[in-house]
Amino acid sequence: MYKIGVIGDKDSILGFKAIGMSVFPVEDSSAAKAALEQLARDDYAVVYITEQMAQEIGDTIDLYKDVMVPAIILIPSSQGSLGIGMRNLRRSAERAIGADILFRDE
Amino acid sequence: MIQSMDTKYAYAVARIRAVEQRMLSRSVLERMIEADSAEEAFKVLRDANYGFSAGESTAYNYEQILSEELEKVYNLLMEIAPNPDAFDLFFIKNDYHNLKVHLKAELSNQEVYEHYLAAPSLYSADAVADMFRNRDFSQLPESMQAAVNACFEAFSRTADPQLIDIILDQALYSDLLKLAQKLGNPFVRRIVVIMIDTANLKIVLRTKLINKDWEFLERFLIPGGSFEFEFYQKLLELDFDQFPAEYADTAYSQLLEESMKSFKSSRSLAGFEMLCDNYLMDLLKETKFAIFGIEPLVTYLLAKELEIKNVRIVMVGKINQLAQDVIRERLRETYV
Repeated sequence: MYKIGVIGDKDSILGFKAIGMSVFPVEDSSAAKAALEQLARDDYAVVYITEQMAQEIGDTIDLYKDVMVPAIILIPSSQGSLGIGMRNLRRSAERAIGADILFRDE
Repeated sequence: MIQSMDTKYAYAVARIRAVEQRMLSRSVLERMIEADSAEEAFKVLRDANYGFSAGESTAYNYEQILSEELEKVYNLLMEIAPNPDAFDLFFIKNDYHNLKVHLKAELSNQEVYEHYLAAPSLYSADAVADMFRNRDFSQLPESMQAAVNACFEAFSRTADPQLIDIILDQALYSDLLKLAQKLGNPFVRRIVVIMIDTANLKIVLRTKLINKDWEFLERFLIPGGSFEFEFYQKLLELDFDQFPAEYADTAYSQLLEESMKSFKSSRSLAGFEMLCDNYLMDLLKETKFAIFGIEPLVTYLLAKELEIKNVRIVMVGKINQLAQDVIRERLRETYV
């Protein structure tokens, strides 16, 4: 069975554990990078990363853009949303179907 | 005022009075709250000589420092108490917690991670791990053995992990009562009874919040407190507004008034939990002028636990950049 992993600062992600996801608290970008690479190797299908962490390891995340798994999804952290998650989603949709059908009205 | 004449504690009490001076006051916590960053707030702890390794640590490792600080407190008490066994009472909650972790890990085929375990405990992490590896619990006191076996038995029958919590919590409180009885100290006994009373009230409030019935509630309630179970059965039928009236002639009347006020405005039990901590703190402060007896030692231990809880609230708040007022309204009363 595929698993879902969550990477970010402890206070933002611990709650996901209660619903059965595997959480990987990290404090700096090198630890976040290592965690993400590990999860990709361990066949995690979905990896949530807090926007704060993702911002610092953009290069590593880009490596996984064109592979099936893991799907990397950015989530807001306890310090609020930076809007990068939404922006990426819009860009991916545009790339996949050629038009921005999700957020046209904005 | 509660006062024992137990002179064999005279030296220990003198030592406690000295270290008490170093506890964090409200104004020190306030300084942490007003710090510009988590790192700045952490510096205050470093200056207060918190833990053993604060010097080479960073704000993100604050948990490590907090557990070291607690260890310091236990070490001191073990060193100065004329009868260290008296403090078993305050260790066993961690032992029961660790048993829970091991049982749940084993029954769900998971590993036990060290940071799930609570210290300090009567039985070391290694000793407990060995017991589970060899399935040999004969070293544990009878009550713990019986509880562990009951958990295995109940789980094999129902596969319901919640039963582990129920069985072990019941066993913990019954052990606490027994140990308090054995110690024969009215102050310690009163603390245990307060722990049971507030735990039961919390259970009732949560049960009501999730709309469960008496049959559900009854399994969780802890015997040995100030109230019979019928009292809680009646509470369950009432509105939250009517709770204070039920507690009107008890030691908890004011606690209930304030708790229900806070619950009504926030619909959350966080305020109630804070008021419970403050209630305990008020009781602890009654021993401030005791010269003999175990009371000042127990007070120091529990007051330090509450202090560490406060520090944790501040550090989590600073790391997550919460507004100062949000942190402030969650702070418990301080001892000094």
